[in-house]
Amino acid sequence: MSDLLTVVDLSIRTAEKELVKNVSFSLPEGARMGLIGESGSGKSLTALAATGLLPPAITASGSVIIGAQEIIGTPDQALNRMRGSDVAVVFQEPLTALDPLMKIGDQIGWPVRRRFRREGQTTNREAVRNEVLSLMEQVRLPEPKLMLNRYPHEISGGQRQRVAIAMAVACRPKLLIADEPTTALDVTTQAEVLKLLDGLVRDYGMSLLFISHDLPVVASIVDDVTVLRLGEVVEQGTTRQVFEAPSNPYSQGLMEAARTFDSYLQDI
Amino acid sequence: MNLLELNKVCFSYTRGNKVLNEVSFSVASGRTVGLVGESGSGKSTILKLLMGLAKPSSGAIQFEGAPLDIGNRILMKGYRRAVQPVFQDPYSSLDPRQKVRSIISEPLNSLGIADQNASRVKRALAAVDLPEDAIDRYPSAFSGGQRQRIAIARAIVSEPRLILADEVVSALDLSTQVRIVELFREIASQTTLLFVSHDLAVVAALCDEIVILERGTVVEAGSTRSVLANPQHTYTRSLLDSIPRIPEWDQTHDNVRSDL
Amino acid sequence: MTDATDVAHNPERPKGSWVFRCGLLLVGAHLFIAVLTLFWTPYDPLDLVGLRLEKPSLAHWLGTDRLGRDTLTQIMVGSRIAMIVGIGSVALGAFIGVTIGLLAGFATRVWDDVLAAVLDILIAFPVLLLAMLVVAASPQPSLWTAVLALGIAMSAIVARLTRILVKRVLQNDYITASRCAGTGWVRLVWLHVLPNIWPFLAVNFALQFGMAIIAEASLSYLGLGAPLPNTSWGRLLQEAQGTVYTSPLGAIAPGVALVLLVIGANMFADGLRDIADPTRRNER
Repeated sequence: MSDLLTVVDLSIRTAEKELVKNVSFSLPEGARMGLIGESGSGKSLTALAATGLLPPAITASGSVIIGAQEIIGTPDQALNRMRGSDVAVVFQEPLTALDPLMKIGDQIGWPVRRRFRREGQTTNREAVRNEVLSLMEQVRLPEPKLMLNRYPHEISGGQRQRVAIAMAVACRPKLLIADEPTTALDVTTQAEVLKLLDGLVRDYGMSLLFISHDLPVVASIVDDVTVLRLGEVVEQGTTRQVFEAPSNPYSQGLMEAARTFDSYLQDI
Repeated sequence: MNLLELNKVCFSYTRGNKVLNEVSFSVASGRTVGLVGESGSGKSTILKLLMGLAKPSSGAIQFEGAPLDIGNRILMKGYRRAVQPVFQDPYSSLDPRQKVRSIISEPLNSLGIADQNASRVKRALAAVDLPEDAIDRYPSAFSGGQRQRIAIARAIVSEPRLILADEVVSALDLSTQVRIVELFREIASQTTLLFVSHDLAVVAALCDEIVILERGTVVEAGSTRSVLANPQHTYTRSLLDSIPRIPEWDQTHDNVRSDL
Repeated sequence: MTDATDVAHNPERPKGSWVFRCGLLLVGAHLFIAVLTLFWTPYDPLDLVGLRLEKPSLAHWLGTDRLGRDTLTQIMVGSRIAMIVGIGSVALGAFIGVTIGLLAGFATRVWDDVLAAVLDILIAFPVLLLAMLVVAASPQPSLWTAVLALGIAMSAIVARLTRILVKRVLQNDYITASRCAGTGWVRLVWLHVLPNIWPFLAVNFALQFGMAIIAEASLSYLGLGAPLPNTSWGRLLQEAQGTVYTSPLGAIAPGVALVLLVIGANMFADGLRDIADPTRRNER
């Protein structure tokens, strides 16, 4: 299998300090990788750099290659064509990721229309609407036909995240980047959204880069993990290796903390 | 004796919709009670009522046998001394322009507890394992976990009988969470604690009793052990099932994810 | 997490930038001259000490005006007028505005809506127009009418800003914690609200200081400012208007003094904003 995403010596810095130092990892086609780290570990910055979405005051060096496209240093317009077809992102806070003034149906309609145009299909209203409805069903939004005309603030946080996921999947990307997609959600909603993501990634054969501080969540959805601390990679390996026998003292501490919480419930 | 008792407490904001619907539970002196619910469960509203910032639309709250009356200034002064909160976000809960000394001593000054002011502050700092020289610094000099310790010091400095903890670990990093839970264990051994959280693991670690809230109604209550080991209500069960766990990898297959 | 907002309130702040220092220098120089004129001026500002419209010389560095008064002296005294009006009106505007803003910030919804609507209407009028109305309503023009007029005219802007800042501060958990600690409203304002809003207000005051000086010059230019013996820059500009082709220095000199002070005030405000909000500085 060839690598879909290759990150080599990625460093990210502001004028004052280095936030990510020489991070390297690669993600083969169809693989699932988790980026684990606490606040300040640089995990979200790494994800933003991978899509070329870093704010202008922050500069990245090194290399990030998606498919055959180098991301670092490529102008935004060129990247726009790639976004969606190769990579789509789901963010932590679904309310800010959606346009507050656009109906749910139209929000999902945009990436659908883009894909149709890319694939040379007709983009008439009927075709787009049918695809949007089918996507809404896939992400289990209740009553899709009513939902088409709702605005983001009229639906719950879990439903908003489902809309964001539908928008990401609508592009049929080869790589899905999920940046703390369940952190803002309730526990019961989190479980449902994780299950949904897991199914969609499997059905469409997407690769998944899953960023989270929540170890059990990461462990339940990815095969390999990279542990970041203060912008540096401290450990890489299969999920099982890292969770059962972490070699680095920092990840050992993390795993111990996670297991402590697990044990609180086991004791009962 | 019950330190705190809620009796059929209802609350609705001006525009209809009941946020709390006949909520009743009690907190016995010296116990640690977990109040569990997701967003929209009404747990923040219960805290607002218990902090004396709003009064129930109907029903009564009793503290040490006396009804809570937020209009009664003298009574409230005693109540505030006896009931102190700790909040979720350690960034928003400390005034960035106050030094740690004045943050921690604010309850003492405002409640007119004049005697041994300095030594009380010192004791509170020691109780949360912060160094003595922290007292002359601003909150910005501290990490999230340390800030939460400062907030806890402020809550315990007036030696309250009841501490209201509102999601106190959920904004913190994992390893910090473990240490703050340990700290609350110590605090719980010395006072009464109402621990509000959505995280059943943390509640299981700390609480003797548990009250489960769903959309403004208590759906289940009892000892933590019995409720979590043998949940009766479907909502409790789905809460328990939703908790993400680290998977158990079986011995033969390497790295196979257990299905979600 | 919320680090960014936190940095904005970091009291252990860095030293000011060169912009800030330039602004401080310009305003400081004007202030020095203003104070100096209380004790010493080259000539008496109203004495006819030379010939009419003299060119600059060692005796009269900036020449004399059409009556033979020393221009440098008049500009120095104008500095004092500008400072009195600038500081006085900003202080008055701050007092009225912050008081109303605090009340609105703490008010119940209905009162807040009423106050906000009134402020919006007041802000819709230009400061100069409001000031002219106040001057017109007062029985006799004096230096203090100008201060009063500009102070009242600017207070609406201060009130609206204060209201928004107060509302933002009140959302913080440390306010709830403070209430739970039994802190009364007055002490709460003093302890938590004012310290957290003043850096932003201070920036506004510095900007308004510049605005007030321009507005006062405009009032004086229109003949609505302080009467003699107050030689305001606006009055000097107006008097020099007739002789601007034969003796341009009489118009240029007070203009330059005015511009320097206003630029200084704006630079000072800009630097102050960077100090109050370091996150903005990082964006550059």
